[in-house]
Amino acid sequence: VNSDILIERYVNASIVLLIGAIQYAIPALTRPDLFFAVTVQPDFRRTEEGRSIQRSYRIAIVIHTLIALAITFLTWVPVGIFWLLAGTGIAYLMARKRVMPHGVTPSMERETSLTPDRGRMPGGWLIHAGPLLMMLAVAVILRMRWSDIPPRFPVHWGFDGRANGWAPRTILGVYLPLIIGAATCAFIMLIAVAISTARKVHASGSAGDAEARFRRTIVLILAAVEYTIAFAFSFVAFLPLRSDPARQPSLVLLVGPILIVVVFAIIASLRIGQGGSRLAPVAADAGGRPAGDRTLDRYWKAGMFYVNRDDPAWLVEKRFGVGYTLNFGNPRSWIAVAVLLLFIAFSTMLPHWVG
Amino acid sequence: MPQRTLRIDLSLHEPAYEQIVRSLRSLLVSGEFEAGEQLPPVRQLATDLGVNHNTVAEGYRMLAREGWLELRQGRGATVLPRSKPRPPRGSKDDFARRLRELVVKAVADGLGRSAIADALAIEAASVRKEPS
Repeated sequence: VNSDILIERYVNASIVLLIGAIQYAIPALTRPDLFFAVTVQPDFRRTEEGRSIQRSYRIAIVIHTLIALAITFLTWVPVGIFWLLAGTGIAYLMARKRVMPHGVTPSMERETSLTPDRGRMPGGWLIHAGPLLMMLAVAVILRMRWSDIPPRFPVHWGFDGRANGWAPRTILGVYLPLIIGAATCAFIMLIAVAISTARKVHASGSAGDAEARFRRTIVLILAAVEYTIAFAFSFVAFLPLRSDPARQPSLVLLVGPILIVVVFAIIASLRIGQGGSRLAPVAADAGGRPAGDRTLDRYWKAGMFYVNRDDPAWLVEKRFGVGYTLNFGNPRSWIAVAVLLLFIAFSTMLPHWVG
Repeated sequence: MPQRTLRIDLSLHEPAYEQIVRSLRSLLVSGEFEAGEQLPPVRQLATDLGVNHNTVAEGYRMLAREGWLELRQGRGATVLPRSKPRPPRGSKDDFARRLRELVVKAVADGLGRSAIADALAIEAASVRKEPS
């Protein structure tokens, strides 16, 4: 087997292992009173039935990960990843089906803080402006060294290391990486703003403090992603200025920072848990009912998609995983999805138009 | 309850806007807000509490009618310096009657006299700053 193909297979096997490991860990990262996206009493997961459900789910995850790894090495890579996603999805749905009879009605209490700084961006605006300023500086340098850029330069390389995509020395050809990078950073910044002002499950007490810390961490991870993107696109924008522009650039510089952010995000998730649930003990609301995420089970389709037209929130906590998801009953969520898809389509097509 | 936390319970029979009014009025009476401070915009508070915008807007309008808030388009709700209103005729008797009903209920539920007296003292003390 060609060494390039072998490297590609090892990279894909790492992705398969990472997805499998995350799926394995997720039940331990969710809020204790949300088990496989069903509202339960916080101690249900420690009962015999709860342990049995989690054990069966994890065994299934391990088996599907091993099968996916074998497929990745023996046959076509996308089949392995597809197998893993389908297998873990089925394992999740089967576990959820077993939990549902144990579901309870959550508390209907709602609370919010009225302090003026409640929606302030963690880290401040300056930290999010940094990546944009970095790319602006790169743009200025490229403008100053415009005459050093070859009239036609490579922008894409094949697995054999030879250039197979080219761009001309035009405004769009030279600045395209920076334009896409800046747009991506701006989009992530909007996500950070949305998370900063999203509804809190707990606004007071130790659970409220833990949730605030969780939110700060998520926003700071997003800021780190912005810097990674700014660095990667600045790196690509500088490629035409190298002494030998046709030489394939080192991928380590591009992939390294991304890996660091991914590892940090995983460690933070393991330590903090969804909504800060691993930092503070869970206290039931008045009446002994679990707070869950303060949404009702019936609005969650398969426990993954929140659809509630009567809820004005458009961003809510995920029930199975770490982070946030959209309320698909809110028209603003669909606008956000449309903007994201348009952006992805635009940034995929634009390089072809330029070339 | 920690300061400046607004809490409602959607499972109660009491409408959500009345709970918002009651909770906010309690904070305003306790002097938690200075005159001129802004309350969260209607849309934000509605999102945080998971209720309709009209529910919060109605609550703000009720507090504005009571003289606690000033509502302006685009500026949200501002806390007003509220002077002590002249109590309506019979309000003292009405308050005494409602308080007696509460005390009787508490005694019927098994609360002792000292526990009731302590609770009343705490509530009276929580009104930190009586309007002048």
